[in-house]
Amino acid sequence: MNRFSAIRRLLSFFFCFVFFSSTINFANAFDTHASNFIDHCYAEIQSTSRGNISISYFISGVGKMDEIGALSIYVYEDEGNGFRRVEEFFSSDPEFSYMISNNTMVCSEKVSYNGTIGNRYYAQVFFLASNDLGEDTESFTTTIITAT
Amino acid sequence: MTELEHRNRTSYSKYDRMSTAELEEILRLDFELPVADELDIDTILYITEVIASREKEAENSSIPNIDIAWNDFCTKYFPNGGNPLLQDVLTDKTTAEQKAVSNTPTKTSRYPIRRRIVRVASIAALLVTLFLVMTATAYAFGYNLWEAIAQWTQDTFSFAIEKGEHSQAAENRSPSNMSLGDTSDLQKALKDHGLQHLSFPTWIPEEFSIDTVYVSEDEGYTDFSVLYTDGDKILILSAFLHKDVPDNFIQWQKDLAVPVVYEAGGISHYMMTNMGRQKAIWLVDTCEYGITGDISKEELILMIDSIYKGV
Repeated sequence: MNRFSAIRRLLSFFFCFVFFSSTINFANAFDTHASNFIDHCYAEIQSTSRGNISISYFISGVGKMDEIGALSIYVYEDEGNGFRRVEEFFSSDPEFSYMISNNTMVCSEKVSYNGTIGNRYYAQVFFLASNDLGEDTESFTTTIITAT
Repeated sequence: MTELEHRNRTSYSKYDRMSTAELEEILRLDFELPVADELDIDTILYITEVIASREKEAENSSIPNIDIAWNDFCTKYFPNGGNPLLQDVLTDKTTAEQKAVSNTPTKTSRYPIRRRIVRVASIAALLVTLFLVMTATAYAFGYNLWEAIAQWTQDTFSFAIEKGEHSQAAENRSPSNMSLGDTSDLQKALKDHGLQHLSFPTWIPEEFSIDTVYVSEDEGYTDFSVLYTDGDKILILSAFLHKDVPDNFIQWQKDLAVPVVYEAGGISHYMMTNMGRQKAIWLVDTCEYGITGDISKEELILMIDSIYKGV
């Protein structure tokens, strides 16, 4: 194999990588979609005190829903060497069943996490809205905050 | 000089006698040869040194050799005779033999072009890869580079503003002790919750009547939503008041079509649809307003106009 072939192979690899990366990006871009169940949603993360953080969320359905709220919430922490998931909240857990409301149009709730002062955090909230016609999900990623 | 260096110098002496063009040709051919037939690295280095030293000598020469320079130009920059302007010059300046040589399409002339294309393609691929990686990283951290440019290219709509633009907004606007409840009159509900400063339409399609009023409050926001119904048809008015300038805004669901901007009261109202339902979204200070419903576009415009003019 001469050098030209090596360069050609390297280029082929590059273009394949670029092509597949683009495909994945486009797939992600169109992951969000119009919804017959969710009208709008929002989430925010706040540092309360002594390292504690709270994640509040709001979701409005397109009319009243049988179930509406957050299916799960993931908290990510950066201690200085990159973000990693440190906490998960699930509405299926009896302790956090309040994350989902029933027979209403909106749901506004929050969860708390005991963080460490100085570390950075963000959260990802997965919303659900469902009625007898079906259901839909949507995700919302908060901004990054530093626990104080 | 060590003995090894002396021996090498002797075996490489043949390269000293070759012209620079011949040495460059050897290097070029070596590039195309299979690995097994390639020159060893010492030989390549020696040839490179010879060429470099000759170039340095040429640079140091106070009077440049015009003939050498012209020949060099003809062979290196006019390999295919594709430029008629240069061809005219050559007719005058070079011999017929030189023209024949320079006009003959050879393998030598093809490869530099191909190499240049390969180099450009490599740089392009590298830049695209870098851009994608940076985009993915930014997205992972909650920033969407595409959103910041055109937020409605996706199937959601959201606002994104710079902090400072709305720094005076939302001061002391959030009432406390609000609860979720039902009420039959919109203005009364707003007054009951201390939200009479919010601007809602004063005209609603007459077939709709209030079903439920929802008020939700958190440390960071207050939401006031009204659900109107007419049988299976729905109409939702909502006002989401951020208590401070937020870092991110509501994510509104929408169809793929590009929103249409409707100006009223000096405010841009973004009109779109979500699953075919008419929808309008607008921002006043830090309050995000929305109308979604089973109504016509004309009715939606009438509702918007009623906020500022009354109908």
